[in-house]
Amino acid sequence: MNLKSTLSLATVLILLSCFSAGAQNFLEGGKVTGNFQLDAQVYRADSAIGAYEVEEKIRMNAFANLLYSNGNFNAGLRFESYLNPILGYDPRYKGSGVPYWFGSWSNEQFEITVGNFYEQFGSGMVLRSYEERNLGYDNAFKGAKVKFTPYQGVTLKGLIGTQRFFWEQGTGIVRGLDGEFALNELFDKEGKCKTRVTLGGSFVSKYQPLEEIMANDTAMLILPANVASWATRFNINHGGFNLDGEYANKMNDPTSVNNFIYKNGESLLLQASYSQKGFGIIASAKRTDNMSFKSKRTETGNSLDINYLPALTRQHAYSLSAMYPYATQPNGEMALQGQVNYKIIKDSKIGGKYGTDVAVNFSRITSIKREIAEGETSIGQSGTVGYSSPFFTFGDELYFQDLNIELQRKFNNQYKALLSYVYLNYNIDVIEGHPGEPLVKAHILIAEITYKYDLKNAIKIEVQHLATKQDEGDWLQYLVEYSIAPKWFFTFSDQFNYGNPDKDRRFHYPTLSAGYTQGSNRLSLTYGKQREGIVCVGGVCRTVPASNGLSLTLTSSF
Amino acid sequence: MSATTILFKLKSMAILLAGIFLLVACDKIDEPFTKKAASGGNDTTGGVTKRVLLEDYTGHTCVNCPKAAKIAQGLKTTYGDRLVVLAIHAGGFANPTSGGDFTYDFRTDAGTAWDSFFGISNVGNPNGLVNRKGYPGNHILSPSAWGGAISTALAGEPELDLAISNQYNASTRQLSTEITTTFLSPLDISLHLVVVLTESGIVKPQRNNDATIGIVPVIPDYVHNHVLRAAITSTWGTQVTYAGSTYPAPVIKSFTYALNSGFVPENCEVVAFVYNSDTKEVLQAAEADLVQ
Repeated sequence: MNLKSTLSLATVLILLSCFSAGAQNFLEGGKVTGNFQLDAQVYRADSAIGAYEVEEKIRMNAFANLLYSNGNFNAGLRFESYLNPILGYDPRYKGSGVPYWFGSWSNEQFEITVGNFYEQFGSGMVLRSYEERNLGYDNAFKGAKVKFTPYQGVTLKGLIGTQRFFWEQGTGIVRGLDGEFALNELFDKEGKCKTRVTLGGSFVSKYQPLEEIMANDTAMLILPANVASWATRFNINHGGFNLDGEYANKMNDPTSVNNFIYKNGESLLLQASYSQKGFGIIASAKRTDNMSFKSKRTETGNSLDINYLPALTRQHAYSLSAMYPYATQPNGEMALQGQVNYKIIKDSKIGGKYGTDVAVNFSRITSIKREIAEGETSIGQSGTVGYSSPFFTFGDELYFQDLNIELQRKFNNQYKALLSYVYLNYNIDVIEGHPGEPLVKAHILIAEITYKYDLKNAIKIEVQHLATKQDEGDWLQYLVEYSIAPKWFFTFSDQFNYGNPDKDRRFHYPTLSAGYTQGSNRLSLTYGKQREGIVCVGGVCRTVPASNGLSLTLTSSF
Repeated sequence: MSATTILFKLKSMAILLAGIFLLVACDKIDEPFTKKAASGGNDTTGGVTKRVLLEDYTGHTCVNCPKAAKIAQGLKTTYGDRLVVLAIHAGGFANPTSGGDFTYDFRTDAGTAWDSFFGISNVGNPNGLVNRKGYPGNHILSPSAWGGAISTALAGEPELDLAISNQYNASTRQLSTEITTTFLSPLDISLHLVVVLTESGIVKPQRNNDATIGIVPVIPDYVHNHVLRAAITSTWGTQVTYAGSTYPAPVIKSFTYALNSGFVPENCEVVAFVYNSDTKEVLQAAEADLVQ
C-alpha cells in the first residue's frame, strides 16, 4: 500500500532470491507454511434495528501469513487487506499492504529477530504485544529483539522498537529487558527437589518526544519524555500445587487515559491453584492502579498499548451470557476470582454412567479506594499527583460480579447435555458510558443438548434466557445446529428481545448459517441481523452499528 | 561452575543491567508538575495572521464530549482569533432519539459527509481534526492532543489570507457573503474553498459524565457553541486554484444563503477555510460574525 511496506516486501523477496540464486542448498530443507482468512460482508439497510445504508454495499477483511523456515533461519510476512474494513473495525485499517514481516536466526544460546515481532514479559503487566485479528487488535513491535540463554535455566530477553499504529508506526520508542531464572535448572540439575521455583524480573521504558499539553487554561504540563516501569515475578510449583505472583510498578506517566496525573502506577497479581484427577481449584486476586501504559500519551483507543491487563473474569461462550462482558478498567480496579472444577465420579448415582463435570466460578471486581493526596484539594486533577489509594482496600463501587455454575454430562454415546446458570452484576454506567443508569442484574439460564444419531449426523439444540429488570430487559435465544461430520454444518438461531420496556424495540435478530470444512479449509456463510452495541475505551465511546446482511468467512492453512 | 559463582554472576549482571536501564530510561518529575503557559503571542507575517481550524466531532448523547468542548473553549480563549472552532454533530451519538431530551437534530449533510469520509465517529467520540492534517493515516486526534497540534500548526507561515465580508438582511433573513482569497506565496496546487454557518449560545440538553463540568447524567441547560449549522458552499466546496497556476491572483467568491427560521442571527458566524484538494489539509481559516 505504501512505499515502506513495498520496500520491505521487496527486500525480503530479494534476500530470498539471492540465496536461491547463489546457494541452492539454502532452499533445500526449507519449508513454507502459512494461513489465510477472508471475511466479507454484504450489507442491507434495516431502519428498524438501526442498520444504516452502507455506501460500499460489500466490505472485506483479509489476511495471509507466510512463514519460511530452514534450520536456524525463519522469515515471514503477513499481508492484510481491508477494502473497506467491515463494520465494527477501525476505519483507519482501510487499504492493503504488508504491515508485518520479520527475519530471525537462532541457535542454542541466541535468538535474534529483526522486523516486526510480538513478545510478552511474565503475565504481560509491563509488556505484552499480541494480535487478535478477529478483534482488529495488533500492537506489534517493529525493531529488533534478542533472546540470550547464557546458562541452562537463565533466559534473558531484550527488545527495542516502535509499535504498530494501523499502517504507520506510533511516535514512541519502547525498550525492554527481561530475565527469567528457573532455579531448579541452575541449582538442582539432578532434579532431586520436588518443588520447582522460577523467578523473573523485567524493565520496560518508553520514549516519546515532548509536546505541549495544558493542565488547565493557564498551566502547561511538565511532561516526562521517558517513562519507566518494572516488574518482578515468581512461580512455585509442587506436585498439584501452583503459586504465581507478579508485581509491577510504573513511574510518573501522565496520559489522556489517566487524565494527566503524576501518580505511580502499580499492579499486583496473585494466583494459587491445586489440581488432581477429577478436581481442580483456582483462586486469583488482582489490584490494578493507574496501569495503562501506552507509547503515545494522547492515545485513547485500543492502539499502542505496551502492556496487557487481564480481566479476572470467565470468558463466556454463549451469546446471552457474553452480552455484558467486562472491560478491564486500567485506571484502577480490585478483582477476585475463584473457580472449582469437579468431576462427579462415573457409575455413581448422581454422576451417571460417564460422570458429570461440575464447574463453579465466581468473580468480583470493584473500584480502588481513592483518597485526596497530601497537599491536594481534589481527586484526579490534571497536573497533580492525582490521589492516594490504600493498597489492600476494595473501593465502594462494584464494577462487575459473576457467579456461574455449569454442569455437563454425557448420558450415552448419543446424548450429551449442558446446563448453566449465571448471575451477573454489571456496572453499565462505568463499562459502557451510560452515566446514571443502575447496575444491571441479570439471571441467565442456558440449556444445551446434543444428539448424535449415527457416526456422521448430529443435532444440537440450545436455549438461553436472560432475565433482567434493567437496560433492555429480557432476552430469549434459541439455536438449532445440524452437523454432518466431518464436513457440513447448518445452524438457525434467533435472539429475541421480548422483554424490552419499549414495545417498539422488541426486535428479533435471526441468523441462518451453513459451513463446509475440507481438511484445513473452512467456508461458512451467515445471513441475518446483528444488534448494535456501544464500546467505550479510555474515555472515548463508539457505537458499533447494527447490521443486516450476508457474511462469508473463508479460512485455510497450509 | 559452583552455585555461589553462578549466583554472584547473575546478581551482578542483574544489578548492572537494572542500573544502566534505570539511569538512562526514565524521567522523574518532581512537584510542581505544571508551569505557567506562555501567552498566545502574536504571529503575523506582513500583517497576515495564520489561523488554524479545529473540528470537534461531537454528539448530544456522547457522555465524554462536554469535556472535549471545554478543552476546545480553553484553547479558543488562549489563541483567540488565531483559532477557528467548529463543533460538528455527526455519527451515532448525534442521532436524534425517538423520545425524551434528545429529539433535536444538529446534524448536517456536510458534517455527516466529513465524519463518514474521515472515519471519526467510527473510531469514537470525542475526537477531532486540526487543520485536517495527517489524512489518511494519522489525522484523528483525541482532545488532549489538540493543544499541541494547534501550536505546531500556528508555527507555520500563512500561505494565503481569507477575508470575509457579510451582508445580512434581517427582514428577508438573506445572507450575502463575499470571500476574498489572497495568495502570499507561489502555490501551484489545487485548492478548494468551503464556507459554512455556525451558531453559538444554543441551550439544549447534553449527556455528560464529568461532575466537574456539569450535572451527571444530563446537563439540561448546556450551552452549545460553534455548532456547524449548514454548509453555504457544497460539502467539499468550490475550487479556487488549479494545479499549475503559480502565484494566482486574488480570487473573490460570493454566496447567498437563506437563514433557517430556527437560527438566531446574532449568534451566528460565517466560517471559511481553504484546503489542499488532494491531501485535504487546511491552509487557512477565517470567521466573521453574521451580523456585522
